[in-house]
This record gives sequence, C-alpha cells and structure tokens, in this order.
Amino acid sequence: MKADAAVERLRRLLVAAADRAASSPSCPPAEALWAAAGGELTVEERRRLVDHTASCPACARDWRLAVAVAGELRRASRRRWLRRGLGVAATVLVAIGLSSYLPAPSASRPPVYRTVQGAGEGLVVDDQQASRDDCVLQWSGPPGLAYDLIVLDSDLRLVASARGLEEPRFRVPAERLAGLPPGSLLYARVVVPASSPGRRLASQTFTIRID
Amino acid sequence: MSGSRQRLSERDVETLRRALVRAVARVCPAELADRRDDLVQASLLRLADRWRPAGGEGKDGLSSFYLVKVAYSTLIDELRCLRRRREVPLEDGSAAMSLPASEPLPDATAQGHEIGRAIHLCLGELGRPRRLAVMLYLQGHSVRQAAALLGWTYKRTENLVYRGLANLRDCLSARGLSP
Ligand SMILES: [Zn+2]
Repeated sequence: MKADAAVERLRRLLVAAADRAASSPSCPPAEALWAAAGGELTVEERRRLVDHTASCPACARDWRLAVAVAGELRRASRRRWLRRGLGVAATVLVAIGLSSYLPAPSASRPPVYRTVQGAGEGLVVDDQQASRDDCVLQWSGPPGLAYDLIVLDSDLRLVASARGLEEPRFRVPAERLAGLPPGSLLYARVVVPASSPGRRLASQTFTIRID
Repeated sequence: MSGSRQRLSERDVETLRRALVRAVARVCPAELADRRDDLVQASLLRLADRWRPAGGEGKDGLSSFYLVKVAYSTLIDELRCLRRRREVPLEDGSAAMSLPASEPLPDATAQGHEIGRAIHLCLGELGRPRRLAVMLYLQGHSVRQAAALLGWTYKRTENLVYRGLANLRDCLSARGLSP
C-alpha cells in the first residue's frame, strides 16, 4: 500500500494541527510515548497511547518527534558504523543492531552480514532473507549482556524464543519453520532486560523472509 | 545499565544535539524555528552531569538507550512548558466548519491548522481499530510498521487503513472540507 498525494496532504495537515497545541494533565508522560513508538510496552498499552494521539495533536507531535529522533540517531549511527566498516560488532545508538547472518559456504570464506545499515527510518526494518534450514539471527550490542529473543510469524504466533542468551546469535530451529509457507515473514526482536523498570535495551523489530 | 554510571563523550553530546535539532526541525518546522536550539540546549543541559569532559568515547555513549530516552523526555517537557503558555483547546469549533472547500488549503496556515484539527475530530468518530491504524499511517508509519505496533496482521491492518481513510474523507467532506 503506497501513500498517494492525498495521503501526504492529510499527513501535512495533521502536522499543522499540532501548531500551538498544548498538552493536558491527562497526557501520557514522554517516556511512555517514546517506549510505545519504539515498540516497547504491551500491545494494549501501545494501542491505548496511539488512541490518545488520535485525539491529542500535542501528543501526536511528540510521537512524531520520538520517531524522528530515533531516525536521526540511527542515521548518525549508520555513518559512524560505516566509517568503522561493516561487520564490526559496533553498537547502534538507539537500538541494538540486529542482522541476519548468512553462514559462510566454506570455512575459508568470511561470514557475510546482511546488515541493517541500509534500513529506512521506520521502527520495523523490513525484509532480510534467510534460509529456513539454516536461519541464524545475529546482532550486536554492548559486551557482557544476556539477551532475550522473540521470533513471531506474520500472524504474531510464537515461532521461537530464548532467554538469557550469552552469545549475540540464535539459530531458529528448522522444525519451527517447517510449517510456514515459502516467503513467510518472521518478526524478531532482541531485548536486554534490566534490573530496574524502563532501563532496558531493545532492538527494533526486524522482518526476516524465509525462503 | 544504571543511569548514574552512564557517560556521554563530547562527541556523543554533539551527535545527540544534532539529532535533536534535526528532529525538531522536521517535526515542528514553522512554529519553533526561533526556539529550536534553545529547546535542545535545555534538554541537553539536564544530561550535563553525565558528560565526560575530555574527548573520546564515553563508556556507554549513545548506545545508552536510557540516556537517549532522557534527552527525548526532557525535550518534550520543554516543548510542553512552552505550549502550555499559549494553549489552544481542541474542540469542534465553527471555524473548521465554515472554511470554503473550493479554495486551496495551505498547510502551514490557520486554515491548515483548523483542517488538521478537524482530522483529529473525524478520527474520533471512527471505530477504534480503524482509528488506530489510520492514525499510525498518517503519522508516517508504513502498514507493516503499524501492524507490528498494533499487534495485527498486515492484511488486517491494510484493510483497516484503507477503509478508515475512506471514512475519514467522508467525515471531512461532511464538514465542508476536502483536503
Ligand atoms: Zn496528549
């Protein structure tokens, strides 16, 4: 579904609505908007916050700002990461970088990373390819962390999950992918749980297309 | 991940400052043109005790999700303080109803502002699933992103966006607006 000129116009008019719009005491805290726009919180909490933005031009603007800040930092990260060279276990700014790892066909050849560096601004990074027989997800993040991973199919049914991974990689068991039609999309997300609420690291949601 | 141990290098701060300025410029271009740097500066000042005075990379740097969230939150707080002084309530005012539909509707004008607010009012008349899907779509999210955020399938979300946009246009037309 492509946004046409009429939709672009509606989008600009929605932006115009925020001009001089003030928030009210019932508005959610900025942290909640940031978390929801980044795909954190529960689905129902996210829906509740989106519902609020539909009636509140000020919070709609704050939501756009969250998306824009994350996008700008991702771009800055991309520039920095590209300077260091791809495949380095660098840390992405807002999100933990997650890449689909394509294993080397032979031991003499270095692994190829399909990095997320070319990704757009959205909070979901689209369409990396992986083989259903050898679907290895690999990401990067600060050292010494334990990662939780969740993989869902396009109907948001659980395909695989793991807790406390000490290595930034996970092989999705082939039998969990066996029933999925060719071309199916998976959604993957990595989280580093924290000792205190609101202080965790979370990746973007990535889509991986299974061959 | 404790906040007190996190540090930003000067380069991190500069990266963050630029990102915030660009984001504000994109999201609030007209209204805040003269206040943009002040707002960002004020939000960064609240992170001042976490700056690392010398050059080089901070231990956690901008990889710290927490610090970026703090920067965003303080920026929003500053914005909210600024707006509170010149509040405009969102209500179904007659101004939007009386706009001539035949004339071009400039976005960054009082007319654009009023139509934008009419969009919010019309969104309130949609069923909740359509409202949520259309809202995210109009916020610039793709259907796939909206589906992931709302926990629905792509197909369902696409359908909700399509039908919701049609409802929205009908509602605006009924108000004499055809953006
Ligand atoms: Zn609000």
